[in-house]
Amino acid sequence: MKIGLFTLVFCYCIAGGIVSAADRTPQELDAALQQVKRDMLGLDEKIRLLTGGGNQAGLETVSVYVSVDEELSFRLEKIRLKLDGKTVSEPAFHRTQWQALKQGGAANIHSGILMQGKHRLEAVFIGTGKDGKRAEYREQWSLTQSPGRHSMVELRLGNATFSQAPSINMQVVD
Amino acid sequence: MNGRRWLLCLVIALVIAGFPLPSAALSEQRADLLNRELLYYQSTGDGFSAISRYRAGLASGEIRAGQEKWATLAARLYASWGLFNEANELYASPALFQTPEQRALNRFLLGKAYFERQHYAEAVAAFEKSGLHPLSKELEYQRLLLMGVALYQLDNFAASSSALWSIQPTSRQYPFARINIGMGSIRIGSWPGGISGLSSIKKRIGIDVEADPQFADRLNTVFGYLLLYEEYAGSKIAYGKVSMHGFTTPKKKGYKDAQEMLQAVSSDGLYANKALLGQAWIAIDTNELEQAREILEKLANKEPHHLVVQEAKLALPYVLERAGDASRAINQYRSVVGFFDNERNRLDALLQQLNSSELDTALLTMRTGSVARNPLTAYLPGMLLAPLWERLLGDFEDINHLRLRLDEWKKQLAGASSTGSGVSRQSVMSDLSRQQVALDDLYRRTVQLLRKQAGEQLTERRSRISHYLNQARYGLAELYGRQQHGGVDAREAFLAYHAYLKEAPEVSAEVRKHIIGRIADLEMELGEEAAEIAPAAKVSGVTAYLAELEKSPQEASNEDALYKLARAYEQQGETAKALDALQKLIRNYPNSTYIAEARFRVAEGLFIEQNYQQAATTYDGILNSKQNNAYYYHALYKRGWSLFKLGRYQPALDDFFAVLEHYDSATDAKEKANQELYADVQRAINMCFVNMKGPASVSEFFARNKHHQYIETVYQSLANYYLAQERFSDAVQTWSIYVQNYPNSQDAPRHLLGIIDTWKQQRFDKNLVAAQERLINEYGLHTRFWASHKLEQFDDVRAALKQNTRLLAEHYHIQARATGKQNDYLQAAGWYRQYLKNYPDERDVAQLNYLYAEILEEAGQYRDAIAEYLAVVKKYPQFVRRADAGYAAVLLTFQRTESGPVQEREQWRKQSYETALNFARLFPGDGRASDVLLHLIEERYRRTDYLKAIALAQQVVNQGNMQQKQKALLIIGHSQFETGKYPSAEQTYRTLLQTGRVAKNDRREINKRMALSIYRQGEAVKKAGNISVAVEHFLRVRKEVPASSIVATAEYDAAAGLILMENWPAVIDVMERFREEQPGHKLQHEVTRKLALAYLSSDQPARAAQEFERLAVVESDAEKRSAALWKAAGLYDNSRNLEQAAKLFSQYVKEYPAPFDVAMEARQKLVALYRKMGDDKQRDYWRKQIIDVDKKAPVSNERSRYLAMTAALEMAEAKYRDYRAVQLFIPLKKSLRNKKKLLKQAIDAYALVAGYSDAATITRAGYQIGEIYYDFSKVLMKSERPRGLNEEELEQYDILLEEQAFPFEEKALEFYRSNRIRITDGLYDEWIRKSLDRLAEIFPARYSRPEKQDAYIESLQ
Repeated sequence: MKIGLFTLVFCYCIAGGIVSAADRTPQELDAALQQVKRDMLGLDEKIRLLTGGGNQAGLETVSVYVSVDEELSFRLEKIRLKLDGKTVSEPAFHRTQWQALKQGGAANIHSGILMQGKHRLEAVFIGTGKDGKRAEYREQWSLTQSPGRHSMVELRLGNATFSQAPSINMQVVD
Repeated sequence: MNGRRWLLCLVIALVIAGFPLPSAALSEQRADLLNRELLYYQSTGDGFSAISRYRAGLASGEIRAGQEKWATLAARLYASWGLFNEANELYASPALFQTPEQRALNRFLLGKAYFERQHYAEAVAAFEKSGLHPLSKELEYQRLLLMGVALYQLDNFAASSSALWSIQPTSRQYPFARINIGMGSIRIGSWPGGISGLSSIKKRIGIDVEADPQFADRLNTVFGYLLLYEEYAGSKIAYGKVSMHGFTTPKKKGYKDAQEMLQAVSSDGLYANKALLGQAWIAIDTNELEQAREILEKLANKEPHHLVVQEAKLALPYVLERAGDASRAINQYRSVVGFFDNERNRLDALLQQLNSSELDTALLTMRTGSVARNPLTAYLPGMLLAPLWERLLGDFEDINHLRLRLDEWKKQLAGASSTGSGVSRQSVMSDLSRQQVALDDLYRRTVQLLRKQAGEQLTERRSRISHYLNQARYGLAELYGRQQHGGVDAREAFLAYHAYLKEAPEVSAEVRKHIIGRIADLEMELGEEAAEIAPAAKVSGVTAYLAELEKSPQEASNEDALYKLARAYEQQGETAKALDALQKLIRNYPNSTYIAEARFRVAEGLFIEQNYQQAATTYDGILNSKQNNAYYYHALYKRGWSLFKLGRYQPALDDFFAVLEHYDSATDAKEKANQELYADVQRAINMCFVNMKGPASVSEFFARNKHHQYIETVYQSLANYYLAQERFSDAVQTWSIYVQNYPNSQDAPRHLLGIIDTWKQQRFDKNLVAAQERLINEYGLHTRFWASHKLEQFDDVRAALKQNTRLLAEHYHIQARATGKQNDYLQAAGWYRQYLKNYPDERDVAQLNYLYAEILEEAGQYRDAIAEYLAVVKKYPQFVRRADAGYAAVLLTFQRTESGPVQEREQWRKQSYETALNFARLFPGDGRASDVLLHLIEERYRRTDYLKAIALAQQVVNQGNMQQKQKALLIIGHSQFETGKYPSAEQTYRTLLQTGRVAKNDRREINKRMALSIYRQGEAVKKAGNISVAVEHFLRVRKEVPASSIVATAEYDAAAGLILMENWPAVIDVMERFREEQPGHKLQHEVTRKLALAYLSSDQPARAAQEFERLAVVESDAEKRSAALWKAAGLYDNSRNLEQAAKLFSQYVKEYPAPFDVAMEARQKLVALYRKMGDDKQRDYWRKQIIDVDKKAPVSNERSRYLAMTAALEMAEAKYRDYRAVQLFIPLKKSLRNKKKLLKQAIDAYALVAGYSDAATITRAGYQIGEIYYDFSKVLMKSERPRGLNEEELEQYDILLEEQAFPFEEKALEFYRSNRIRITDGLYDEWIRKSLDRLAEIFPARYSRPEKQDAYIESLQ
């Protein structure tokens, strides 16, 4: 059994401790992938022109973003966004998306036309609280759209001082 | 992974904080939001969306081209998405390429981007270019570190080391640099250098890497393992050279330091398991086995795919084995053999699947999904550490993102038009198709690469698992024989060794020889089974040993090989070769430790070859040897067999008995192996005797020889031998001879038991019974045998005596039932009696006593049988058939009561009463108890002992079933009825009826008696004078028992009571109901009477009249009938039912003409009724009837005459009114004739009245006649004169009228005068006075003077 012990310890120690692999990715494959990416970006521009893109010329539009404080203890899993009572978006935040939010990213959860006038914006934040229990928090705001404007609205979640529920702030970014 | 995360943070920091504020197009806040949006895309790995959004911002003017901030961001986005040319262009653009510092930074950032996507060569080039210009100190160290790592990845350890050594110890990057230097040294085989590098980091861990515990864990783990290895391998060189670190002193503190480092690793981090395993190995090598076991057990239960866990699983049985716990070690080895075998199969399956697309999705989610949940990734965690893998997986994700985007575009374009956009939809669609082809091709190629990489990884793991599997097999096989029970068996060890040799990588010659030796041993042990188990085994024990002998023929160790070779030949059945090998052994190694065995085996070989004579001689040689060898008695035994085979039984017996004596005297003689031999010797002895003269020769043998201690054994053994041969009579004869020869031997009764068993098994019943009787007669508890033997030492004999006594009893019991012979009954009874006497405390004694009672009953000994049944009841309270016994006694007493000798019956009756009551008292819950009681109850009832019957029946009511309860209630009810307890009887009957399901006949009787009970209650109360309560009872009869025949009587009596109470409405109710419900009842006419009375009394004359009218029909007595008819007629009259009254009076006159007076009165009633009714015709008819009947009556009376006269007068009055009603008119003749006719009729009528000579009416009649005449005369005179008469004629006419009228006037005067004359008769009344008045009127002078009256009359008035 001494043989076995030697083999086990040595092999594992080295294999687990040190990375070892040469950069042998085929250059050809890499070049092909880069070319495809470029072509896709070119196509993206064409399609934006063809479909009018996200900016509807002459029309009032809105983009809604969500972001979180780095230390937020509420684990956001899903948002249900309603404009004037109608659900317009229901994005989920899996591990990757959640990490991106925690690292300071702002997720665009809705972009679309929003006519001039007063509107009601409502968001339901669904996720897991600090205590590990499922929780839902609902908030709604009034939003006034000016003529010809592209409104950018940011919903930001942070820890509340005296409550388990997160603080939810809405800001129209000018 | 740490490096990546750290770099990402750095980049974010740069992006967020390191740039000036935007100026124009976008507000600061909006720019920040856009910036964070791009960051989000990038962080989620969606490089395309990030760049797309950026380019859209440029296109829309949100982002101004050429701005430094956005250019930097864009360059980073391009770079991180792998579009390095675009990134490089941006970094080289004027906005970002103005100062040398800026240019250095750009190249640094580009290098990092290359590094992050594992383009290490490009990264190194960029970092080298970056180094041409000054960077800030910390950025420079970062550059050096990244470049060093990239070079490391390119296996350029020297350059890597050079770059890393340039980092100053004051830098935060220093620890990372040193560990990579150390790793690099190890990679190139420079352990001392590696340890040196790493140890310097060890010193700094507390300072520099405290913020990164994961890094510290990794470092401690790697370092701990290195020290562990060094210590384990005993590398003194390493320690000697690396003396600067303090832990490499000659005192060998290596394990201690390694232990410290591994213990410092956090228990919940990535390296926790590795550290634990290291600690386990240290514990093993320092012989801290308990600690090692604890750690390994904990590890072995964790995630099973983890390499560390698999190693722990393998190490655990090794530790258990070393700790001496062979049992658990074996179990654990078995468990891990199974586990690794499964895992290897699983990996084989995964490798198969890799060639299909089944695992592509798993590959795709490897970087983001849960490793534990993914069967593929569970075995590929190492892959994630490999840069190529990371890069390939990143590309794979990008490709998939782009494919999804392509799908979205296709959907989007389905509804788009080209109008106004300047872009052709068609051309875009065509571009999309091309892109689809390109992407699909990329996808396929990337997947192929991934599969290849995964395949390599899995193959490596498979190889490792195979290695573990064989280690476990080897460990398991080595444990063969270490555990008595549940240990590894020969098969298992044999298979494990074979598998090991077949699959294990190269093993050393020493190990190989060891394994071959073990396989050979196991082959011999398993014999032919070995070939079955491993038919394709390449290694055979024999061939292996021959090879050994050939390899070195002169070696001393060949003695062992020769011995084993001989055994192997023997095993294979090659006896000659085996003998040859043994002869060679004897010849070449006369002093060998195997020599005695070799000789013995040679003799055995001769025996096997049936060369018995030579074998016997060879065995003689061993026996004659002075040497005290272990084979002496085996040789003696085998010589005995050789002599036996040669037919020399007597000397053979001497050898066999000598062997027996030897083993019996040896302390370990009864060991298992020898027990078999011992038995074989006995068998041989038996065969000798059988071949001589059987049991007779045994007697002869022991008469001549010693060995007397074996007498009993030999007899028994011989008997058994015969039994095995199915020579039952011989066996019995053997035992029988023994019993005969040694009757007082303690084995004698036991041999009789042998005889009994034999006959029993052979079903020789007659012999069996004889043997059983012999046993009990010769060795029963009463025999002399027990005077010299202690019974407590003969439990088996005692049990047999008991059992056989019982069997004999049962045998004769059955026989008696079959034959019916009294003798058999008595025999059975006798055996039972003996059993009960000798074994009173046995568990079955109660049952036997019961059977004894039964046999007595069957034998007709009833009195004894009853006594025994009752004894069973009394003596065995727990006996299950105790109640049966009691019941049998009861039945028997009942039976004797009914059919026993007449003179005994009364006595039996009394006993049966007591027995039955006792039974009911003892077994109240027994269903038969109530039956028994019912029997008694009925008997009591028949004997009119009603009170006792009630008391007993009450018990049955309380405990019996429904049917029994009903019977009991019936008897209670009847008894109560018979004793005049009517209320109780009624209640009992009611209860009985409520139980439901009462037999039809019983129900009829119950109803009858219940009704009677109620009626009797009424009678009793009535007698006591309480009429109203009596009435209630009478009325209840109908209510409670409507169908009872006594209802009518009760109703009638109720009505009678009600009459007494003058409760007429109730009487009417009851009687009307009676009439309706009892239409043909004999009391119906009484009902009518009572109803008549009731209606009459309650002032209902019409209803009363109807009842009387009925009575007028139904009364049997004519007088009553006539009276009823009269009453009815009168009541109708009273109730103004005149017609019915007239009808009944008329009927009365018709049916009852006598008595005369009453009939006359009836006629008078009819006159009155018809008058009231205005029926003149009928009235006059009845007046006439009265007059006629009176006239015709032979004996008239005053009342009759009065009635007749009144009738006549009334009729005359009527005639008079008729006469007066007619006027005279012209022509006078006609009217005069009519008037005259009426005149005559009226006068006749009055004449009739006058005919009755009644003083009161005669004057009236006279006056009235006078008045008629007088009136006629005046009517004539005043009659209308004819018209047209002249005065004279008129005078003439008047004269003529006077002439005509005059006689009438005269007639009138005559009657007036006759009345006047009656004054002289003393009469004077109204009519006389009127007559005088009329006379005075006609002759005033003559008669118009007052009558002369006497003065006294005046004075009286």
